[in-house]
Amino acid sequence: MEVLLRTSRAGSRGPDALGHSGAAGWKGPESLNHRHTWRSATCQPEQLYSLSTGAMSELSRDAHQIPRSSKACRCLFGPVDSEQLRQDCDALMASCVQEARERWNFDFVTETPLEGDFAWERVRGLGLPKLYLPVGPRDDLGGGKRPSPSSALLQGTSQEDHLDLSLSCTLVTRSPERPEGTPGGPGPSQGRKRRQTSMTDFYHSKRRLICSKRKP
Amino acid sequence: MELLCGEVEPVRRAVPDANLLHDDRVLQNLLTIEERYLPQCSYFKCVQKDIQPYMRRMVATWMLEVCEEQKCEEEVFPLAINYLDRFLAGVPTPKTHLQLLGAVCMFLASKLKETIPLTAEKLCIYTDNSIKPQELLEWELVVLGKLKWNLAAVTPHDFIEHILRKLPQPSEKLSLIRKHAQTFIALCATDFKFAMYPPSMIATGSVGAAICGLQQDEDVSSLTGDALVDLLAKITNTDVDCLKACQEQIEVVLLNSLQQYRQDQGDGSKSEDELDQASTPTDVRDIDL
Repeated sequence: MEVLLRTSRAGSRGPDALGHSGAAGWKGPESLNHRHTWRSATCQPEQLYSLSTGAMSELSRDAHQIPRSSKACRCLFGPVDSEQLRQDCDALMASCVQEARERWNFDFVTETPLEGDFAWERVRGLGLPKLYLPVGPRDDLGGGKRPSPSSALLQGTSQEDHLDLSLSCTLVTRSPERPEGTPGGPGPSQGRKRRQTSMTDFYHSKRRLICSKRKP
Repeated sequence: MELLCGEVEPVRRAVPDANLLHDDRVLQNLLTIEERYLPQCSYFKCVQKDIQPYMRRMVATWMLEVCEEQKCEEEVFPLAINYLDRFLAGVPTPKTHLQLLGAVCMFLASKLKETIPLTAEKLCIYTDNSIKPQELLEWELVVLGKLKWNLAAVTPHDFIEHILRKLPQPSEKLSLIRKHAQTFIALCATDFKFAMYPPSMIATGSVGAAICGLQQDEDVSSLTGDALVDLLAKITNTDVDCLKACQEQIEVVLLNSLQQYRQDQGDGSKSEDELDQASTPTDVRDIDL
């Protein structure tokens, strides 16, 4: 009786037995509610077992449930404004695309090369996986516009990424005054490919600096 | 019955690779690259307007609880905090987004480190459904973009085995030292003052603090006091004074969290059951200072 009581109370929290199998996926709140009602109503023997023994550690991760009385399930900073979230997300994604555009002088949305340090040229017949090939017929380089939902995925720091686009780039000029290191993320910056071996030169040790700051 | 048990065996984890752990070049490379992955600035001063230090502590504490409850591998939590700090060092963020951000960072760190990662749905439930899985997935891309997809950050855990291997400890004591050091590392990740420290320093300080703490109970080391600090400092090429300072700070953080724990216990808000679930904090409480 006690077990049944606890199970049905857990129903108010929301779904707590996700990942029965990877194939289930997220089907929206309705499917979860449905599943949950079913669970609450019938109370499976495994549930009784896990409730009575608390044997969570016996289960592998994909059967790993969120304990019913978990106090970790909580909202920390009040309600989240979904609209605000969406706006901020769009703005940040746009800034990511813009950063990539400036960094590689390439417009990843329209797949157009721009003026800059890199000279882009199309590479054909590399036996690329289908995933990377453009969908449908396309104009010549620079003319092809297609919906590019994955534009933000093209932010990788390695130039190899761009081979995947069936475009290759070569470094034409390199201005010596280019600022080193971009804020927010370390990693190889422009034109570093030719000098891969000395990449670490730019990350000279700041250990002493940090130490002196830290001392009381 | 045996068959049934076989079907629910725990998550498989990789065994330690001696080829990597017994090679000094690996340690040297880790020391060389570790500072690439530090947050670029102390963001409460120069970037964030809405987020206060106590809010980072809140979200970090929540993340630690989730990682423990889901029995994530030890590295997941510090790695997620590293993503969080690096993101916040570059992007002004309202406090209402902070928990979503914490969830995204756990999502990414878990995918990078675990064989069976946390699901978006599960993480959303841990926010008490204040965010939707779809939002989490969208923000995953945002965070990836802002981190320049540099996810394989060096964490203090990367150094632990390299350090332990060079200590003259009896091997039967090592697992206890390791466990305590891991607990210290998790504690450090919840506290912003360690965010800009090199991971090797945190690892070395944590091992030092673990040995010192254990030494009061029993004889775990043939080395004591300064000799131990000197040896540790040499292993990770850290300044001795820095290391001492770091170790002291770690011990202060432990003390604070112990006090916090006793307060919580005094409130009687936690049942015995709940306390048993959390693996790491239990270890902390076992340490006798």
